[in-house]
Amino acid sequence: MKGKAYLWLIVVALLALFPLVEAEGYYYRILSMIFLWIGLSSAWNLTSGFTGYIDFGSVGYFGIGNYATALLMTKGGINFFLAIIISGLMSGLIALLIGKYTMKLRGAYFGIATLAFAEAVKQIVFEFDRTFKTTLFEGSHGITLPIAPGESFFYYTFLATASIIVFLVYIINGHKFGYALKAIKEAEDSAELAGINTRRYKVLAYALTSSLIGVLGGINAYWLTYISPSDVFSVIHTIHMIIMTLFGGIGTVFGPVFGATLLSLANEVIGAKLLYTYLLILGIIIIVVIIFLPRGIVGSVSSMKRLLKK
Amino acid sequence: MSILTINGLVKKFGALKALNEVSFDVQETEIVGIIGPNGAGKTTLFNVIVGIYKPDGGDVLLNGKSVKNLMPHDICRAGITKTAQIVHPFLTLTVKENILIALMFGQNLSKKESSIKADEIMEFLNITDVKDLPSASISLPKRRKLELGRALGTGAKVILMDENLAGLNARELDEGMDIIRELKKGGKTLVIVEHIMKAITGVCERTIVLNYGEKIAEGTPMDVCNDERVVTAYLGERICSV
Repeated sequence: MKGKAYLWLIVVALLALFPLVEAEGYYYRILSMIFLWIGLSSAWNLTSGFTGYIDFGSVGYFGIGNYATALLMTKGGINFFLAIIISGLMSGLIALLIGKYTMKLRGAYFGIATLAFAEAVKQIVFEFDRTFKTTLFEGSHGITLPIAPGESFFYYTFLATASIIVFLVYIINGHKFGYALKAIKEAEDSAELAGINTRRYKVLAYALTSSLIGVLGGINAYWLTYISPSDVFSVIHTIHMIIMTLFGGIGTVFGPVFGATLLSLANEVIGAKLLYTYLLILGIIIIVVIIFLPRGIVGSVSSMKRLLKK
Repeated sequence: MSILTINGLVKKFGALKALNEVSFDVQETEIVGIIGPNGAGKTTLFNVIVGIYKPDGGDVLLNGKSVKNLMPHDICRAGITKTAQIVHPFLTLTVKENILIALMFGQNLSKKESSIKADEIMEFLNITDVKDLPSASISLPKRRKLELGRALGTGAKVILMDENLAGLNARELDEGMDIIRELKKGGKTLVIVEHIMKAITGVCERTIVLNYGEKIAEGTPMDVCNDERVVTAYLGERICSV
């Protein structure tokens, strides 16, 4: 495992040196987008992959992060880095409250509740101003942020954030906290009988996941410079996190990294050439993976290794 | 003072009284057997004691302190856990990791300390050969031992064993009974639900009989076996000759 960790350090170091190549802005954007999705999928995987509570409302925290940063920067005049940290904390606090109740639900009921939460937040942002006759969220007009620095700024911000998130998941995986989450996924009642405060760990994981997604949302807002509720609260973002994680290997540390990279690239390459048949092709790829590699790429590779050892 | 006191415990499921004013004491390092026909309330009794169900009346005292309002993980840390009749190990995790989790959370140990103690527990239960296999791929007798291993890992002084010996062959049964005797020597207090009368008469010092949620008899295994009510309710015929 130690060797693997060095390999990853080298990958991150090489990526950090990439801007020296002076590539076109297009490549920065693609890589930044990949880092964003690595971060989102890895964060999503931490709760849903490790505890088995499949969260269908993660985009709610992504949107909250987007809006928190946008409002803090435009209305509060707060520095970007401080703004994304506050956005993360806010998302985490809201998740503590929401998780306290939704985490009592099991299986599909948890999924439905979280989906409803994300839709509710979207509606609040849409209708708040009209209902209370103010101009806070700007409703469907959206918010325009200050002009952002160049592409390499976001390249580094996304690279750093995604690396921190993946590293965090890597640490948690081998840590006591990670074992608690995995025990909850496998057999929640047995976990209680083994002395694990299951509710506390579930809610903590959910809050951590949500605050990480909130931070990424904040960076996303500044990157795009214009956000609207229908964009940043779109359920398609949650679906992407789920599919990328499943594709790479749910519940594994590096599965979401592979899944997010491959599918973001596919999105870019196939999507650019075949605008209309792209979704069809993507759908077929996903079906094939689910049928033949149900544990994702990383999950299937590690179980094959185990079989070969025998 | 007794380590575990069950005081007028009542548990209702709708109109059904699964437990009706059940009371008994368990002394430290005692081995108490609980028998009774299917549906008598044995598993319900265990689930109420460990906090999976909340009782509708009565109390559960551990060393004189009530634990009935605690969550299962708190009751476990206070000192009572159970091995389930239908075993639910953490399937994708290895045998060692299963026990490791109990040590880390039940006793709040570091991963390093837990690792050493997990090896000792597996050695004691004779399952070291499968320690690195996922618990999904080990045999039922070993899963039952693993279930006990997890209970031992939590460090709980009182272990409730729900049919931990069911489905074992004669040799495995003897081994299981030896383990139970060893645990008593090690200071554990055990309450055992079992249908195998050989195990009850072989290791238990005292036996409690439940029927329709009520305690109908209590005494040494021999006395209980010869009790008229127990014979009609459960045994069907006299199996122990005096």
